Amino acid sequence: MEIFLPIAHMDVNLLLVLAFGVSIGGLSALTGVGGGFLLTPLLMISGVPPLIAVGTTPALIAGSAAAGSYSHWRLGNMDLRLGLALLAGSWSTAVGAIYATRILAQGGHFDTIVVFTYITILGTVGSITFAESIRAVFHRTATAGAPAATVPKAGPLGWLPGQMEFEVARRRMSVLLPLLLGAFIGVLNALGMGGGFVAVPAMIYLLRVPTRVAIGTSLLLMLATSAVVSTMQASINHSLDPILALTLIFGSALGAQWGARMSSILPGERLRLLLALILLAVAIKFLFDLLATPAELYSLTGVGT
Amino acid sequence: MSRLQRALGWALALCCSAGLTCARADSGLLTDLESSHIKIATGFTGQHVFVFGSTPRSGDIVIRVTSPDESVALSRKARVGPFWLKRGKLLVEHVPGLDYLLSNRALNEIADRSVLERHGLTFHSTLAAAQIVGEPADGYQDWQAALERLKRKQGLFRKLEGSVRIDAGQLFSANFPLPATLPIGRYQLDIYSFRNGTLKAHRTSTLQVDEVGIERWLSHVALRHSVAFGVLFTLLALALGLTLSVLLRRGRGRRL
Repeated sequence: MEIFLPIAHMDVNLLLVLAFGVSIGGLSALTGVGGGFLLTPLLMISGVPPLIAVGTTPALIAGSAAAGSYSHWRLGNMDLRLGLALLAGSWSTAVGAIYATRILAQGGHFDTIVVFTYITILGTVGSITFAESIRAVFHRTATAGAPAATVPKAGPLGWLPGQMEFEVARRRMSVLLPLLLGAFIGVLNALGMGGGFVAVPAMIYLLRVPTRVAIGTSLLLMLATSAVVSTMQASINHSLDPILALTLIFGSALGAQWGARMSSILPGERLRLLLALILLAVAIKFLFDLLATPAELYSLTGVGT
Repeated sequence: MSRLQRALGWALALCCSAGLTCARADSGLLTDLESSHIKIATGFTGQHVFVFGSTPRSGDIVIRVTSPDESVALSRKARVGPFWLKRGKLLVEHVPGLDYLLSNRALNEIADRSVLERHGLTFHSTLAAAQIVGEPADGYQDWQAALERLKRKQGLFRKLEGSVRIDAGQLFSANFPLPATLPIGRYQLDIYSFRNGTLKAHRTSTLQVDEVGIERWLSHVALRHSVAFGVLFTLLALALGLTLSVLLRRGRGRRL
């Protein structure tokens, strides 16, 4: 069953897009990773132009982060001050990256940069997840969670300026650290990758924030960053396709509910192994496309946004 | 269906010979379209267009269907180290978005190549009219052949030889499919009548292709009022994400 995407100006299979939404929603409920970094390449592989894929995914991330943020906010898992510091970083780089997208798309370099970024990120995250889940499956040792909540004291980078108290996170650290982390997340988000899969482990292992606060604050970061990115992709790059976005949002809401129900039945570490294999497969496919001699050298691209 | 089409053709021929309102050229070549408007709505997967008409004396009929000129950008991959990367971009202007050539038999049997070229009845002549912006970069010298290849692959440039049927020597009709990805705008249909390799008559009619309904509204709002669209759509996405999760969770609670 084909539907017409008015902004991408192409036909896609409705069931395929719904299935993408359901898988991404289910995956994020089962494994805890958002899945934007998997959705964008899947859309690209199924023929959606990279610019539209990158521009539409943030709307889905914003929608699903809104659902997650609400429950984490009620549970008191959000450090607002930490969130604001992260957002100051992510908003500034995301805005810059969106304008850069416009210039790169006009010069015809955008697709190349997107593909290289995805190979790097998917390859890295896929390998780390793979190694970690193999350990979990075969050794069955409980992976050490976040370091136990520590007394607020300066970390190893205590000499940095701008030391600040983050009450909910129960940490004292330089405001530069969340600013820098946020700045990195902003670029990822503008490239359609969300960034929660980097933000959560970085907050836990680098900023030493308790796990539940890291997850809650990361959702706030995803919500507010993706909302700005989605608005800007639509208004500056004309790259948000509303039909594609709505289909994905519906699919992912369904998938999230199924995922939540299945999570008690399916073993988490095996799912993470499956996720790792999918990520590596997508990275290898992109790499293969770059290395193999193309049958057709030319392609028609957008004239420029 | 084809009986209906033939009946329509006869009806047209009759009404025209009776001097009723009908497109009439001095040469006596008459044409009409079953429908002069294509509406693209949700679920549009392409549409067939039926053209018919009559010609005073037997001969060959060639129909060229073109959509408005567009600018397109071509990218070419080149080897950089071990990788094949897109290198540069060539902007080409005045390329019809769609160019279909329909005829009752092979075009090269109908007239000489030079005659066909003069009337724009080859893709070569179409692309000769296209203009590139600036100088072609290194490796882009064969852009015309590449553009023709890509357009043919997308089904936007097509040669449908034998798709025009001629009945009783004078009535012709053609039923051709337009793809789902067809460009929008006012299409031009040029109908040529050839006899013994020379052009005897030429008539033009138009076909309007528009997006209608929610498609038209969405692309209009998204492109013309893009800031408002961005803000409102993002708010909608947030509200929808939140509402759906609450609703579905509640539904699940009831079922369990």
